[in-house]
Order: sequence, then C-alpha cells, then structure tokens
Amino acid sequence: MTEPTPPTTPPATAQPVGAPVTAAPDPVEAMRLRGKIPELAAVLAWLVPGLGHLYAGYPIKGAVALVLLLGMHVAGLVVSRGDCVSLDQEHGHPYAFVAQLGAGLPTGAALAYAHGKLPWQPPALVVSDPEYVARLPDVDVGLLFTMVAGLLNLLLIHDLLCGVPGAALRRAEEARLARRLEALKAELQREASAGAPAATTPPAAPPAPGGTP
Amino acid sequence: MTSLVVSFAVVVIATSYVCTAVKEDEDIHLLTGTLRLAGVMALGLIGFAALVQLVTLLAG
Repeated sequence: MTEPTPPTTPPATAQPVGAPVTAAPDPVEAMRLRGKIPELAAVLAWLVPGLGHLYAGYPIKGAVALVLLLGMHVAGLVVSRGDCVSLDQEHGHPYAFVAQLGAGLPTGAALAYAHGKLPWQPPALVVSDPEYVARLPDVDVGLLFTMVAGLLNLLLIHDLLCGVPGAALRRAEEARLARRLEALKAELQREASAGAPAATTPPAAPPAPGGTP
Repeated sequence: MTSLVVSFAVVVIATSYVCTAVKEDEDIHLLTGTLRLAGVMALGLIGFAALVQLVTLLAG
C-alpha cells in the first residue's frame, strides 16, 4: 500500500526565470485539508506508538512504528517482568520514568501493574532477595527498551505536529536552489551576449602607405 | 552475550528507522536511508566500543 503523496512543489523548470517564487505548501494545512487533525494524531501517537501515523493516513510508517516501538516497549516489560516501570521509593526508576512517559498507554499500564492497581498482582520485591538480584540484568534491558521506545516516540509525535512533512521541505529547498541557479545562468548569458558585439568587431584597417602630396 | 547483541540490534534498527522516517516520504528512500543509518550507527558504536576497550587495556 503506497503512502499518500505529500504536497509537492512544482519542479524548477515549470516556472519561468524571474517569476515570483511559489511558497512551499504548509504540511500542517495539507493534513487539515485531508480531514486529519495533527493534534489528535499526536495524542494518539503518544498513547500508542504508531497509531498517530495510522490515523494521519500513513499506514506503512504507522505499522512499522507500531511493530518496532510498541514491540520494543512490550518486550522490555516482558523481559523485566514489569519491574522496569516503577516509582516505588525503594527500587523505582524515577529518572527513567521521564523517558518512558513518551509512550503513554504501555507505560501507564505497566505503572498500574507495578503498583498493584491491576487484578494481576506483581510479586513482592525484596532488594536483598538473591532472585531479585539475579534479575537485575533483565531489569536493565527492560529499562533500555522502554526508555528508548519512549524517547523515539517523542520524535514521531513531533513529526505529526509538524504535519508529517517528510521530504517536502527538502524538495522545496532544492527547487528554490535550482531556480536560483537557472536565474544566475540566464543572467550570465545575457551579460555574455551584451558584450559579444564589441568583442567581434574587426580592428580598423591600417592607413595605406604614401599619403597625398 | 546473545541478549547484548539482540538489544544492540533492536535499539540501532529502531533508532535508525525513526530518525529516517521523519524526513523521508517514499518507501524505497525510507528503506535505504534506514539501512544506511543503521550501518553507520552500528559501525560507529562498535568502533567506539573497541577504542574504549583498547584504552582500558592500555591503561590496565
């Protein structure tokens, strides 16, 4: 399934030299014209990574983000058995939680589980328990996955708030530079043709020897 | 060791995909950009880790 074609700027050759430069279309406005609300897409993306792009009409980006980021987040929770998301005073991870907040729903569910707010009660943690100490490397992996998933999701949220510009801005800049280059070439050609008649005039013939008596 | 390699690969792929997805439109450019960035990240991180190991070895 192909991605929806973002609004593109006309190629440089389509505009005559010296014509007023057409401003690049605003990606946010283009998204609104398609009937999609960028702010709602951003909220959906925060709740579930990838859902915002699915709503905005980018199925491939949304599906891959869903699999990668949500999958990474869930894998981190599974590996650590939910211990990597916690605000508990004794063995919580408050600084990591700031990064994990980038993915709202999975982190919220894990936090509720860690603090016993869900029907499934987590096992009681004792810091001195050798079993808990043996699981600490798994908790580290869980922290890594959930933090990276949350932080990367912030980039996707920002992308949606900017209207998923993709390569549109880069293309607009390339088109602007191409038009500028064409204008400079035309100016050089005009200057060269204006100076050509003086350069091609043959030099005046020297006077014949032996003047009038 | 296996978990280290898997974790490294997952994080590199996810990071390279997201960093490429925010600036590409077409699927082929998205794929090639992701693979290129993933390769650069992987080589860079492995090289940096090797450098750190070397410095640690020399210091030890």
